[in-house]
Amino acid sequence: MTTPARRRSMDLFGLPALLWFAVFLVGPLVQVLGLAFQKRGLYGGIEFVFGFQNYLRSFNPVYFEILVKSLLLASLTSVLCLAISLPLAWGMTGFSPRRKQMILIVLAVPFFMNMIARIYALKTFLHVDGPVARVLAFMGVEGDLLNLSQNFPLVMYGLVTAYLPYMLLPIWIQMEKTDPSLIESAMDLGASPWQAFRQVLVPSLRPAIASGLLLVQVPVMGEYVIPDLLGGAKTMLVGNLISEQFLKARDWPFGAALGIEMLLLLAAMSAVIMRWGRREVLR
Amino acid sequence: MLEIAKICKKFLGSGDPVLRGVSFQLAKGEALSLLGPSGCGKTTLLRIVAGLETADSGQVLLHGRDLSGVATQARPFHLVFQKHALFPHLSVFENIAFGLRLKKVPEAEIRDRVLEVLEMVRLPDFAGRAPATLSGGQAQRVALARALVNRPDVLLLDEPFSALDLKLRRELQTELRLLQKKLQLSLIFVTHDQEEAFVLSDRVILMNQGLIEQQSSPREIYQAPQTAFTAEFVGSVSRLNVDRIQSVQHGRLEFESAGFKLRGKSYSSDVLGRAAQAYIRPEAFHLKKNEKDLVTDNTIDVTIIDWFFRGSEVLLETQLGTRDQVWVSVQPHEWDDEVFKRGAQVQLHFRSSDTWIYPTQLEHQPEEHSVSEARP
Repeated sequence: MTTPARRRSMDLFGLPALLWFAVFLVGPLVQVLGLAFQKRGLYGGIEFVFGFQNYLRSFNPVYFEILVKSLLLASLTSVLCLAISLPLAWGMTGFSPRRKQMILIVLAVPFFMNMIARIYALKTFLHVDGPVARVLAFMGVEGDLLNLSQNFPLVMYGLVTAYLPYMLLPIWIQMEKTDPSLIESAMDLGASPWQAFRQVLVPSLRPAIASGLLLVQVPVMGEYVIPDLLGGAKTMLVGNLISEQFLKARDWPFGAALGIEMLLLLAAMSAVIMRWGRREVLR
Repeated sequence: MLEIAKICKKFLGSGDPVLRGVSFQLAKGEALSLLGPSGCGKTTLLRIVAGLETADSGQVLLHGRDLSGVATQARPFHLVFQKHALFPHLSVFENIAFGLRLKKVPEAEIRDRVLEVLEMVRLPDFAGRAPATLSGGQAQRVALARALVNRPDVLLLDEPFSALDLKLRRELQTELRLLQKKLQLSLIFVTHDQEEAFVLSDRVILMNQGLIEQQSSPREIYQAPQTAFTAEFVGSVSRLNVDRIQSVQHGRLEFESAGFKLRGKSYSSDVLGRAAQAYIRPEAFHLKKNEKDLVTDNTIDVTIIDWFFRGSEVLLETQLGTRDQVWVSVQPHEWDDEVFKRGAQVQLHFRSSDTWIYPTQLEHQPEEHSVSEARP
């Protein structure tokens, strides 16, 4: 039981964190919110007028196309991560505790290194005159047949490697907690292994899958570094569209408007995923 | 109907085989228990019948047909697990309907059958509930309903009540037994609890280290244990050291223990010339020589060490001579503070037919196995 006096003192302990959020999260957010209603100055400054012109401008098919492209990229990454994680986690549950620990370390090691450095390493590794290309040339594969350094599959490869653990870990943890007799009783009641997987295992993993999706889908929506480095900056995504408004086009108000729209979209998306992942899904 | 023939099983990487040639049959409408200590292979055997494990050798035959190539999902058996294993994302109704939906049973029939089976397990209003909101007993009832609704040829139960408290366990045991008799269910019930095995089955198969120790009716397994293991595992016993066997005739023998001349019976033919022990159940001892029609032909004098009040009985710890500990069950109405004092002598009377002689086990049974542990 907490007495009112005690609660008040607890509130005080929370104050620094609250202050931090107020200054560094809410503050900039309010600023961006305000910026979005203003206008770009002639030389890249800000003209203090009020209007919805930035939002109206953003409802242009060109930008919509960019949004759809980002959405597809993020969805594809999520689906691939999920498709890899489910069987991988299933396999991992069968190992001894010692082995499990080893696998966990192997999964975590790439995260000891900065992501940009990791992507650059991958880029060099697969470059036109990188080791992979050389081996291929040695084996008689002429030229840059695979177009190794800069293409779409490579972008997907980079995204999936970077985000896989965010999907794998929650699913694996949940699967470890799943009673094996759940699957066995489904099979005993007449389910084929696929039906048991589809109708019993996956639904019982739903909360874990939802948090995995949340951790992959949402950040990849804003991702542009990996596509840029591995895909050769050929595709415009929501992430680089917004950053370019601020850094290159110097149109802060428009960038702010796009940012707000993106924020609302991601919030809505998170809400949908979280709702889907809630336990009480009874037919 | 169901025949288990010479099943052997050894798990990879483990030393001893779990099952070393087990055979038995199950008749239609028969309730059979596989009883035994943990690690005796009873659960593995059940899982082999269900098709969840494969036997190294031996067969499972249903109506004479070998099931070895038949997958779990195609076998007309249904298993109730130790932990109910209800699907957490489905309602009670959908959990029970799971098997019927897979078989594409028409919706109206599914409804009727699920509601009927819910009525049977006495949970008529629980169709819409989520498994997480059920108590342990309710969940296990739903698990039973989920198996029953598919009308299995054989119902398999793997210690389904072991996680429940004693009172609830007893309630569910009698309920299941009544249901079994009413519906003429054929079932195999795995348990390590002898009382549960007795209540639930027509026949008990006692297993020990991958082999069948004895199979017979509950009454027979309790009152006429063929081996020392059976006598010790089922119920509790006191052991008297047999000093000298004087004569043997048709399984009846005369022997001497701590200076008393006693008579007993033996199920093994070769007790003569071997070290042996006499086993007697605590309730076989009587304080009066002739009670009603009971004729007791054995008498010993023992010294009272201590006693323990257990509600329905008082358990008296006594000693015979300087060596053997003898446990005596006394009805509370027979209790007399004047007679039962520590250090006092009492005379115990018992029948020769309740005195069983077995050759002493080569591997000695651990001491604590005798009374305190063997009782539930």
